[in-house]
Amino acid sequence: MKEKIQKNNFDLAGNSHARLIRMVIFAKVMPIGNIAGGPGMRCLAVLSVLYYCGWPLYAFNARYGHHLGRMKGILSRLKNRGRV
Amino acid sequence: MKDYTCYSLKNLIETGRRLAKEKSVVSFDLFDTLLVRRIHDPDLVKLPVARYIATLAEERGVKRSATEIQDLRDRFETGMRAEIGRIHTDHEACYPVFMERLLVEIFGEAGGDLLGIVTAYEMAMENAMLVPREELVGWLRELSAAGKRVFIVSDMYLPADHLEKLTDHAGLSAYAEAIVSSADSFAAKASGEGWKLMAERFDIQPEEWLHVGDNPFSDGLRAKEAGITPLLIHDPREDLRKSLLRRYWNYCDGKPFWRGRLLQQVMAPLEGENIPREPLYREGYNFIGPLIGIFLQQIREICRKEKLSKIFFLSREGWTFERYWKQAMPLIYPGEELPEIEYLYVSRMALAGASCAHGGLKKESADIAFLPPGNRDFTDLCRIFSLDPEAFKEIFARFDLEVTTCLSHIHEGYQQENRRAFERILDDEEFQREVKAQTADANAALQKYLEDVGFFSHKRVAVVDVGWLGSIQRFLVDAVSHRDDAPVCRGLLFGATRGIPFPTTGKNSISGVIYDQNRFDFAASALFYARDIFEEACRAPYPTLNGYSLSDNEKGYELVFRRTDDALGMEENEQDSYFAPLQQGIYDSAVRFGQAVCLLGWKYGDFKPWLNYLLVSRLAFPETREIMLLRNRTHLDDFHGGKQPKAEFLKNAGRELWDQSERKLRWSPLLRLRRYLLHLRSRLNQ
Repeated sequence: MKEKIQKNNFDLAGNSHARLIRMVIFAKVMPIGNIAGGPGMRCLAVLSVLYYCGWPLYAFNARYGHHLGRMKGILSRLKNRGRV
Repeated sequence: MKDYTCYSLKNLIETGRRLAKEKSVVSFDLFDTLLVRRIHDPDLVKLPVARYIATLAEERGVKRSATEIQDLRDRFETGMRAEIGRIHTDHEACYPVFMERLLVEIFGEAGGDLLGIVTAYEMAMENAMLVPREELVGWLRELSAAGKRVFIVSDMYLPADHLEKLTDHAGLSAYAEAIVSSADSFAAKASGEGWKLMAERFDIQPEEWLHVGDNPFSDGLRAKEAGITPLLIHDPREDLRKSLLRRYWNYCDGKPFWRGRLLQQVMAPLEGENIPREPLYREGYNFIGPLIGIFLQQIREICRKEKLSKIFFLSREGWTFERYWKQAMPLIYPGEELPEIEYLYVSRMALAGASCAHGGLKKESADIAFLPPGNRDFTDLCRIFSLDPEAFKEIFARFDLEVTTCLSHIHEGYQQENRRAFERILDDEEFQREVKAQTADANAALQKYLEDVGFFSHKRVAVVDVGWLGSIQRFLVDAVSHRDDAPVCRGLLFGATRGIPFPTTGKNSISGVIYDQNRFDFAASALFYARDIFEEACRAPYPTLNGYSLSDNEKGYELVFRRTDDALGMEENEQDSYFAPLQQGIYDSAVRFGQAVCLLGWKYGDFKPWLNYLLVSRLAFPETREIMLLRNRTHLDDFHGGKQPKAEFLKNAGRELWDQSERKLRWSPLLRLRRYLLHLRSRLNQ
């Protein structure tokens, strides 16, 4: 079946993010070789949100993001305090 | 005047068509409207340009690092913007002006040539990273055909004639009346001055003017203030794409694992390039292509370090490597002198006989010949080394052997004393005399061929092959070692499994690039799962070479290829057709790989963690459909005989993961894990 090389959510056909997550979990219990420390769980989590929920989030942000200025300010302050 | 902001291209074009009905002029912003970039940050294109200038500087004896050059460029650009800002409203810069200053600072003089060379390179890099938005370009064509005046306008440090190179490449120039850049007039859209100037210059009434862009300020507010109708695009998909790229880029700093992933993301096709493709094409583009690219890039680095002046790509896999090299390496190493490359028509079968003409048939060569389980006796050796067994019957009889006596321990009828007797035959002068006599012509033809391709013109050469024992190189060196002008052969294999010790000397050595058994690399050992894939994926679409023969033609030799009209030959042709999309995917990935690596500036060590993950994930834990897709149907190898070994030696045959049936692959519980544990054990025991 024909499929695009870069899927609609910008993931790569055959080298998907889900496949990476499965392999990383496997690598926690079984050696797979030198992967230079691996991808990092936080990076995986952020990318998971982007790949699987990214479009609705960015679509919402494009239309209504300018109304969320106050909330973004609060989040930014929290982030700088290291809470987020 | 109403604000028109659209959140998808489809909506933009629908709205635009409606608005454009009452307008005679439609202008488009260029970057992030008509063209999008493969990367999130346009400034990243400056880095390879800085590296290029550093290379040019080094050639002229000037030592400046790329970082220094980039800092200087930023300084000159900022300085120019400040200068211009004192006279004009906008703080604009003009590329040729500050670049010339930069080049004079580095080289002491610019010279038209140098600026032209650097500009051409930067435009090429920009073009590599820019992709036209197909739907918008389609609308632009419609507008042009409908007789509307179409302009492309950008606030950019590149003047209009430079931007035209980009629009020409994207196929936009033909549809636009003019390309307008703020770098020419220093009047930008951002202050509104750009709009006024354009209206005067092209005699445009603002009420007849529709402008399409992405920046709410320059393309939106300022256009509206000038009386122009703005139509803005804010595409959340583009925001998402850039967000992903930005994150990969940021993660790469602290986590080298992501560098390979970013490489593949930058390589990925966009917009009109990203059309649905066959599964084999995708495998070639997303898996095998980048592997080959990383392999060849490392070969380039090794050649530079060891001063190897020519690379010979061997056997049918070398055909693909050579084609990939030609497309990718000049992009990764612009301005640098690359080693010469040549494709060599060689194979184990073709070289085996020719290798015996001077040194005779060696024990190691015989051991290699008996490796395939289908080879049993001296007649199999004769097939491989192009010998006539009839001429050896008397010699064998002296040692109480026949040419059909079993010499392989995995076949019925094997006796160790027969093998020892055979090893004594190898020391027999008459035997070796006959071997040399029978293979002399093949060797002579080989010498002529190698002279023809310049094999002896270089002192140190790299010979590149897919792997796995280095037999081809072994035979090649044996065939030419009698010559004083034989070069030092540095074998660089995709994977070196070293099943048989390689006779390493100062003039002859091999190493594996992706995998080498002498270097414990567990992830890369996943190659053991499916070595045939790489051979089939990379194989040239011509029949295997069987030998060399002397000829009366101009060259004095001819290459003897295997026939294709027998059953095996026709199966191979069918297999070649089957794998054609895979090969196309590999070749299509080469240019993108080169451009992406050039931009990112990374090397083998940077990509290795991701490569390790890819090998384990795709070879040790493949999906069933991937195995069914990539598994070769016919692996033709005339080196392998057809005789059946003893059953006990066949018990492991066909038990590898990639040999399992579809039913077992889908339904056998924990099959991949079990195979993986066996593989882990065998690697650790080794």
